[in-house]
Parts: sequence; C-alpha cells; structure tokens
Amino acid sequence: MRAKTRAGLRIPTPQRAYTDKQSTVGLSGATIGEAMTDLVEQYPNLRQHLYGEEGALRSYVNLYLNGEDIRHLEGVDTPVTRGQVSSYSRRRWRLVAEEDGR
Amino acid sequence: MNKQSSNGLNRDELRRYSRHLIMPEVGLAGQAKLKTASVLIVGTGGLGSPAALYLAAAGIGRLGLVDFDIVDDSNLQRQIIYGTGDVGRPKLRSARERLRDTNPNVDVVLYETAIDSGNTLEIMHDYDVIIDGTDNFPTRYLTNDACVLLGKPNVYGSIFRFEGHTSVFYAKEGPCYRCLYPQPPPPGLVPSCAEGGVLGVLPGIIGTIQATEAIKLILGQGEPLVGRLLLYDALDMTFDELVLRKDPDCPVCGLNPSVAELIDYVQFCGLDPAEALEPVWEIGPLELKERLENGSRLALVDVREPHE
Repeated sequence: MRAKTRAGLRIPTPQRAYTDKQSTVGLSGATIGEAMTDLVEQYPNLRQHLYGEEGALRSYVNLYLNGEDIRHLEGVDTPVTRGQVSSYSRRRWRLVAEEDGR
Repeated sequence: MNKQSSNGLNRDELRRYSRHLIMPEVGLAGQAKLKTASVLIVGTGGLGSPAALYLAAAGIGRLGLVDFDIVDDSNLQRQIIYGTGDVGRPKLRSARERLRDTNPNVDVVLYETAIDSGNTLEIMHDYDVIIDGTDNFPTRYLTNDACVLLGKPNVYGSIFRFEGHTSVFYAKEGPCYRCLYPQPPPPGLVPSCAEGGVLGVLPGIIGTIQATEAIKLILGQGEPLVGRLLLYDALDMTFDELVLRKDPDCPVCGLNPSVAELIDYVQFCGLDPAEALEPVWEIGPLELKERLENGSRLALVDVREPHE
C-alpha cells in the first residue's frame, strides 16, 4: 500500500459552512484525487458543490498545489508527495472558489 | 499663481504631490502621466470607496464612477467615502463632493446607471484602466468581457467575511477573469456580503491594492498582478499567491473566441431577470401563504439554528 500523506486543504470562506467552519482541513491521500475523496467522505455536504453529476470537478472550483493550478500539473493524479510518510505535509493546498460581494 | 510649468503641473500641484515627485519611480514625468490618465471605478461600495479616495489623492486626472444606489446606514461600516450625513443621498453625488474635497484637480465623471450590455462599451471606451468593485456575478462577467473586447486592464477585487482576492486581468498580457472562472457558480451557491457579512476593514485592504495596481499600470512601474491571484486572509493575516494562466480555450480571450460582443449576463449567470433586478429582502407569513396558494415557484429553505 502506498504511503498516505496528510496535507492541509485551505477552504474558501463561503464553503466553510460545510466543513464545520474549519479553514484548513487535514486530508489523507497519495494524490489530489485521493485526498479529495477523503474530503467529501469527511464532509459529504461538500460533494454537490465540488463535483458535477458526471463526477468531475466543477469548472468554477479551482484546486491549487503550492500556488499552481492542478490542471497545469497532473490534474487529480498529481501526487501530494512521492512515497513520503509524514503526519503533516508542509504542502498546502488551496481550494479556490468564486466570491461575491464588495 | 497656478501657472502651468512645462510638465503640466501647476505650483499647487507641485506642492501637493511633492512626496511623489521625489520618488524615482514617479517623479515629474510619472505625476504628469497620472494627471493625464483616466480610471473608471465600477461600483462605489466597499472596494470602490478606498480606491476612489486614493486615486483622487494620487492625482488621477479623470475618475469615472458607476453606481446607482443611495447611501444606506449599513454601508457606513466599510464604504468610507460616505459619511453619516450622506445616508439617503445618491451615492455618486456624495462621492463626488468628497473627492472634490480630497483633490479639486480631479475631474470626477458620474454614471448614475446600472451598466449593462448596451452601455458598458461606450462608458469604458474613454478610460485607461477599469477597477472592478462590483457586487454580483453578472456585472463582474460583463466588466471582464468589456475589458477584453476593448483591450483594457481590469483591476479585480472581491471580498467575503475575512477573505479577499485581487488580480489584474489584462488579456493582452495574461489571463482574464473567464480563464480563472469559465462559468459562474449556480445562483445561490455563493453567498453575497449582504447575506454572509464582511469585515469592514477588508475592502479597505483590497480596494487599496486595486488603487495601487491601477497607479502602477499607469506609471508602467513594478510588477503588476497580471497572471497572479493574490489571496488575503485577515483572520490568519496571510497573503498567498496563485499562478493564473491564460486559457487557450477561453471563450473571450482565447485563440478562437466565441464571444465577440457583449451578451446577456443576467441570463449567463442563470438568474431570473426580475429577481436579479428586484431583490426581495423579506416577506411575511401571510404573503408566503398567498404565494403558496397561488402556486408560485419558490423554494423554502429552513435556516433556523438548532436552538430556534
């Protein structure tokens, strides 16, 4: 079994209503896809906001790893760390969704 | 007394802008650029207030303001261009008075209208830089698309609670707003500040960054926020930066754009035009009963807390 990494996912403010008001959520997974699966298992109410009916990430949800859009990396297959076991990765993910207001 | 010098600045202006003039990045030439420049601020709310005040103070020659609201008590917590005595007055008239007091050298042009696909290009055409201080998705997409079509930089800002985002969308040199968000979120998913609240100081930070970026663009100095999204978290007191890339398939600024003119943005954002124009803030139980009996289409959402 591949080593699982725990990483922090920054949740944008409007979506914190679905993460018990947590601004950063600890996730397990070797890839972003696995970690996102962990996310929606922990917080099932987030699923409908992140994923469309076909199971793909919605177009208005952007995921970044170290400041880079995962679409420009390896998408959901982007490794969080390669074969490293750590309780908390220093890597920080960002989930960025649109905001409103002025 | 106000004799113009060769660089277009009079004696009063030389004194007023003296802290700019001694900076190598501004100097006389830069201050003259600011004086001949024009900036349009779309929305004079939380973001537009500090942006307008600082841009006026900096000596921008012409400032256009777009808004059609009147000043409300609930604005004063963050919209610092207005005072308590302005409540009930049209925003733009109050804003112009304040800006004239801040700097009488600035030509303040008012557009007391809601911008839409019919008037936006004409309004924006005469400005060098556009500042997005809007509070809704249709106007935000409209502002973006108009800037792309006109080839103008769009200095973007958005705020919610303790978190703010800002960037410069300049399709000639980098991505536009649609490269970041090709589609608006479904109506109702993302709460507005009226629904979710906003720390009053937050738009002060973000709006001031927008003013800074506008000034840098005009001066041609420094590194603009083109291709970068700056994220500010006031609770953690952190600034993060994300890389934004131009989307070759972007419908507005991509290689084969499908949007060659402005569209119906209310429809694009999936909103009912009647609802979008006339928000209903509150209805009573009797009115609700009537609506249910009339069979009107509505969704009831129970927002009561457990203790209620």
